[in-house]
Amino acid sequence: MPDALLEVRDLRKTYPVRGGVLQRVRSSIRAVDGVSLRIPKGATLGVAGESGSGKTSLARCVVGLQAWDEGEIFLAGESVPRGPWPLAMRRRVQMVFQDPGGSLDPRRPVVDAVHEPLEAFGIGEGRGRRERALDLLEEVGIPREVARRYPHALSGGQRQRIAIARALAPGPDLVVLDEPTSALDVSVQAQILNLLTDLRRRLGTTYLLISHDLEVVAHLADEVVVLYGGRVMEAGPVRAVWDHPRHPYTATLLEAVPDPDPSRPWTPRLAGGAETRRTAPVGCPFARRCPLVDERCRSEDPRAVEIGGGVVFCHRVEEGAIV
Amino acid sequence: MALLEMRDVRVVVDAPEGTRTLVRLSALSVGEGEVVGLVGETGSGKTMTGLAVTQVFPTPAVRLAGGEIRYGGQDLARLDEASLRRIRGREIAMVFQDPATSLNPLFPIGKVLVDLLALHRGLRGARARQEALALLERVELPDAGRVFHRFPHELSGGMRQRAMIALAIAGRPRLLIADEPTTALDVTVQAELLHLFDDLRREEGMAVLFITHNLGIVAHTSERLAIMYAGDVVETGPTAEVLQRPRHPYTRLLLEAVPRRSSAGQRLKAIAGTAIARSDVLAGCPFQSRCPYADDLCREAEPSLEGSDGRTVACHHWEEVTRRA
Repeated sequence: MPDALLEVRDLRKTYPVRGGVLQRVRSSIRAVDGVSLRIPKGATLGVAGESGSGKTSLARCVVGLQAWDEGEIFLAGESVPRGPWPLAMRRRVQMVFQDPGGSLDPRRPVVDAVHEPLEAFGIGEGRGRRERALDLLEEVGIPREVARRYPHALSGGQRQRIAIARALAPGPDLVVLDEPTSALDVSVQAQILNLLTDLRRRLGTTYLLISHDLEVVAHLADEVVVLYGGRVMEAGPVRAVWDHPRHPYTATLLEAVPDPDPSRPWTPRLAGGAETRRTAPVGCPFARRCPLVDERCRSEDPRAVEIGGGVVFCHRVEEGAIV
Repeated sequence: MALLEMRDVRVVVDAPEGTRTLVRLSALSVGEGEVVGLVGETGSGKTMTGLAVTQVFPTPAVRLAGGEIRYGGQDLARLDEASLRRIRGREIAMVFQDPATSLNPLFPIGKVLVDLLALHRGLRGARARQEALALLERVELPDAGRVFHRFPHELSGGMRQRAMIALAIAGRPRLLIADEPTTALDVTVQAELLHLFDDLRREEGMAVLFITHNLGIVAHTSERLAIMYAGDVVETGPTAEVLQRPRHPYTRLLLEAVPRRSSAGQRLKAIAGTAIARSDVLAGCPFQSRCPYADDLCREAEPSLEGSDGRTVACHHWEEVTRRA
């Protein structure tokens, strides 16, 4: 097995649910409930899931925005601290958010957004640092004259390019992309996806891609992890999983997406709305919506079953009912 | 005979710098009981077009500045506010992306529904309550009796959207204008709601103008399509024909820009540049700066929406576009 740039082992993160006049802790939500994954250097791992699946909580733990409760994270073999990160480690993991406006100061020219991390991490000096920021922006398709403008004068696509340049500025090993194109129009989304593909080829950057858009995951990722209710349902090479989903949830998810080609049939199975899991239920989180559910699914956690180059957590797969 | 027929509709916004045109729609129609998909990207004017039908604009600065909106023998563009109010909700209802904007946070769902039934259909007391419950069941809300007493914030996104659809169909409208009604929802919930829309329009005989940016959705829900760019319709036709044999370069490029499983690892054919606003269109075709087919003719003359056999297109070179496909 090649060395993993990122390895997450049995990660758990719980949020308290408060209620009543005194805001006492009533119960808890297991946002991330024992997730393990690994990304080889230079690869792209997609994390797919719907709202409440835990994909954003997972991302926040991985970039050090949030402490987790249990489990371990390793970056290039080195254990990542649960608390505040040392500067050298922060430099190595960067994030691109869904809303590019959020990381830009409306009162400063956009070049400052890229200059700032260079300054924070002590990369370059004076004019050289400024030049480096401008070069980075050119690399993501922002010409020098645009770099002097303010965020409001730019389009959504340009702002996302700047957010990408800002993330790349400290020369990170891992870039976490949290729904990087969800706020963009289709025509602009294609430009940003192309940019991410080009940068990866040129710089060898490793990506952790968080997305609810299964086609974006298919397009960009090598491997995929499908999350539901904070747990991994299925993981493996994206091609293999998308072409032959084994977990009933993965299948439900893929069938729900209508293809722009009207000759491709669209017959989604209807499973009832997603729900966030609270407290400590036993069994498969998807049991309440699964068409193939039986008593075992409600009383026993599914084990990892290695199949078709990937791994599936489903009793039906383990029993051989799904092959 | 179309149920709704819009022609040369102009929507403008008054700003301190002067009046800007947001929409200049040459033609759009929806037949009785028909589902028409109105597709466009941000700023294309698709939302304003939907709001223009019954003239419910977000601010007084936005207004209708001309055109015809034929609906059931009358021109909605010429009606006064009081007459429009009788049309809204009862004849033409709307559903939006964010249900929070239409659901009153201060009242339980049932109360709002009962009030609407009194307003639109003159139902009172037990009859209104009964009908409200029936509507909540109609939109497949689990446990309608309990949802009746719930406030909007107590419901999940998908349930809120169902509640909003119940409000929209309370007046038994003949036309439903749905603006990105499933965009904020998860794909599995979206699939359920699209099914509900389909059931409702078949059973109630309602026509739907489905406004969206999602080509996948319209491919499987709409009978006809209208593609918008820079405040105007650039192509229309039966859904399958438009998506499989697009005539406008924009439609074609848009379809090619969608990432698919088959495009994995490859570069996508992105459309260069960004969309232009109607007010920035100076001369010629609004798509010229991004179009691989653009020539002198496109820079000088704006193509008009023309066609036959149920399809229209606004492009000087559509025959060439079709040949090359």
